[in-house]
Amino acid sequence: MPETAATVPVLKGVEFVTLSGDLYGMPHRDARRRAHEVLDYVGLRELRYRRLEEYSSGNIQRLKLAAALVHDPRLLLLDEPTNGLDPSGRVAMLRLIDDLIAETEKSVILCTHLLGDVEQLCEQVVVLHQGTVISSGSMDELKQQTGNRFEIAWQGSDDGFLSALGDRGAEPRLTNTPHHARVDVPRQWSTTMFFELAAKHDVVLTQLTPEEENLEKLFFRVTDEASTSRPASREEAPEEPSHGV
Amino acid sequence: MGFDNTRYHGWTGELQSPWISSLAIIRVALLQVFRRKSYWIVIALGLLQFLIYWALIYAVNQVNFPHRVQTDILKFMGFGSTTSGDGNGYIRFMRQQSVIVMILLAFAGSLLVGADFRMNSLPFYLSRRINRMHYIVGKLMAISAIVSLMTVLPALLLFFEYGFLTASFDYWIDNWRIPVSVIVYGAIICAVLSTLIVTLSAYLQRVAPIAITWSSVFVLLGSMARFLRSGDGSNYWGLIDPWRDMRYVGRLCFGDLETQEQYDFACWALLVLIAVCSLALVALVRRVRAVDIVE
Repeated sequence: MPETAATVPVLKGVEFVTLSGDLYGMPHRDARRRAHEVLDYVGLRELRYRRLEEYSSGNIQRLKLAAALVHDPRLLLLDEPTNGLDPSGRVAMLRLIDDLIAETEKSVILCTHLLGDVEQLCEQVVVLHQGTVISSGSMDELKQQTGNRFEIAWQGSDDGFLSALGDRGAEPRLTNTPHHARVDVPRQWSTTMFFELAAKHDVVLTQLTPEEENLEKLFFRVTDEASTSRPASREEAPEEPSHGV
Repeated sequence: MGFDNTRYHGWTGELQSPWISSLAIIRVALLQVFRRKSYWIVIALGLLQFLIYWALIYAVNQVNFPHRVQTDILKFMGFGSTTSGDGNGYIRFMRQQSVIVMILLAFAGSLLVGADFRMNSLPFYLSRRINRMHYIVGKLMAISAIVSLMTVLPALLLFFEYGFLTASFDYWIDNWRIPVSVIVYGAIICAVLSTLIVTLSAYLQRVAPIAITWSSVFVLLGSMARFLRSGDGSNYWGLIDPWRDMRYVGRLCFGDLETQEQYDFACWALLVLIAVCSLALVALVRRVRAVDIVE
């Protein structure tokens, strides 16, 4: 299912989906019958005899999904399936894909810049940055990679407390708020160590919150890391950022 | 038990050859052209001309006109004699029809080929089982089908009509070469027009540039050929005019060339057409890609 309009002008919906089946090598009668079935399935029953020029963006996306399904593939490659849809259309499309996955157990590769779609539908994530895979794994695995980050706030002197955290292997980063920092801690870190170090340096902790990382934060973190770890390639890269999930 | 349309149903079946899939491209192209009402103005011109020929052939065979009137009618249609209905009339008919087809293709090229590039539909075709050769052959066949429907098919119908209206099978037997020539000449027109319009449409994509370039190829080059020929008198300047080339190749097919010079010219014209079509095909193959490669 391509991202762009990629339709054939003057054709009607059912003819377009039939053509898709024909081009895949299905016998024409089968392609025609199957076009009606999949158009029903994606909710375009009433519109199937309308010309493609009369379809809305949402219906074009559904039509392209029908064209991708007509020959009953085991693997679906969906490129920006919610592109150009209004919020309700987007929700409907995601629900349709979700139902399809649940009902048919087809494998779906979803290529999108909308990370909410990925969180809603995907089990495995591959993050691409400037044409290179920079992170991959299941959603839980990727989030676990950054499970050791806390947000802390305190009352008292900064210097001794922060340097003590640094001595123990943590990496505190001050935010714009006074006496407030984000801290990346090593894997063997225990939260009680914050309290021990605070007591030792005469500091009162007023906030200790494990930082939940959603896919968007994860995406920015891994792309930032990739950019800073490859300064030479960054200079050679095009000005427009080209990354996706 | 009823068929539940709200649930997904799988499909199992035998897949056909991708070459058979190319036929779908032809079917869809015909559908696209005949569904556009504006194209029917041009198609109607072709139909009108066919009906005029049809009526005149009927008239000269069934109505007792004075001999002079009958001769004038046949001369008007391009047929040399009242009895034989020789090939000239068919060449003239096909040439006039191919002018109408040329006008139709100037507009239809954008719809049939240009739109695939303009609307990024090429991945739609090439992500199926067909590859770019199937796509190219499908599009060429689609254009050829339109050209044939307006040139070869009506010419053959006229030939059969002419024979039907005579008292015996002699017309068909004596002129067996005519339908063969119609088919060969039609194949040449199809090959040239389809290759050129598909290539031009693949590069130019929109109606206006295609129509301008297309008409330049056939009108401007013709005028240039006439101008250059009048300059130094060499008939071979005519080779740069594709209409003239096709006309001479057509006359070659119908065995209608009178002098050795005409015969030589027709052979050169055939070579020029082959060379032009080959170049166009190379350009077309380079243009048709599933994915644009951006450096």
